[in-house]
Amino acid sequence: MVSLLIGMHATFGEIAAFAFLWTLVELIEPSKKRIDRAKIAASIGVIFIFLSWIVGGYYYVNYYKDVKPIIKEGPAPWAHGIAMETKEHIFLFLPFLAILTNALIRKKDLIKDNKARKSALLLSGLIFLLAIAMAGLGFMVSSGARAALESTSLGGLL
Amino acid sequence: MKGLKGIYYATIVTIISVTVMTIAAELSTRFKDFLTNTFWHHWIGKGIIALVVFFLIRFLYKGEEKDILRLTKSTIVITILSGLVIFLFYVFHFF
Repeated sequence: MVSLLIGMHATFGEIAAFAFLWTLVELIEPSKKRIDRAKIAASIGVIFIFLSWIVGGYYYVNYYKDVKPIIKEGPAPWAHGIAMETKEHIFLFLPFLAILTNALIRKKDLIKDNKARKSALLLSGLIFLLAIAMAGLGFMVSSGARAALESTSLGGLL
Repeated sequence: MKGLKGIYYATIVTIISVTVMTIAAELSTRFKDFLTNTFWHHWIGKGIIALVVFFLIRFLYKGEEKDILRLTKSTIVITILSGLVIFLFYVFHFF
């Protein structure tokens, strides 16, 4: 159950990240068809960021409290102290940036309004990079937990 | 086109609120306890307050933007600076 939740959180987050990369690509040289696809991509991004938030949050408040002390006692306590703490709070920026980008794409004529198009490009790129950074931080947290468990089991063997 | 300025302002204020709440909860046990006691978990509390702040500003402020690219750049700069503040806070907090 626990690894399923982590897998779902990461998968939903990655889908959201690549949905905004898709949005960015569609807006490089926009046409009516590309704008329509960008709207679909941005909507997918918003939905999956919220799904990632809900699933990740459910795991965090119900199960992570048991993992945290293990990481803190292990060889990489910074995986919680820095990586997890940073991740869980910067993540909270993403749903709002995603809503903003989605609204911008839907409310502005991105073929005629070059400033709005550039804005949508920049915001989509920012969301993609932040979401990828979240995945990297998540990997560090998992590595910290794994290192702690390995050191414990190796300690038991010695 | 109406409403976009409100969404930009809502996003900016929400991101700053999350940053302030994050640091305040680490520095003040009373604030962290308030979040935990009110919302079951301090992180849930930050998320709910962020949602309330966002939608409150979004629906209360209905201004029309003059320079959307400038607003976008401000949003990006504030997001990056807020992220850096949170990251550096936890780095110093850890060591």
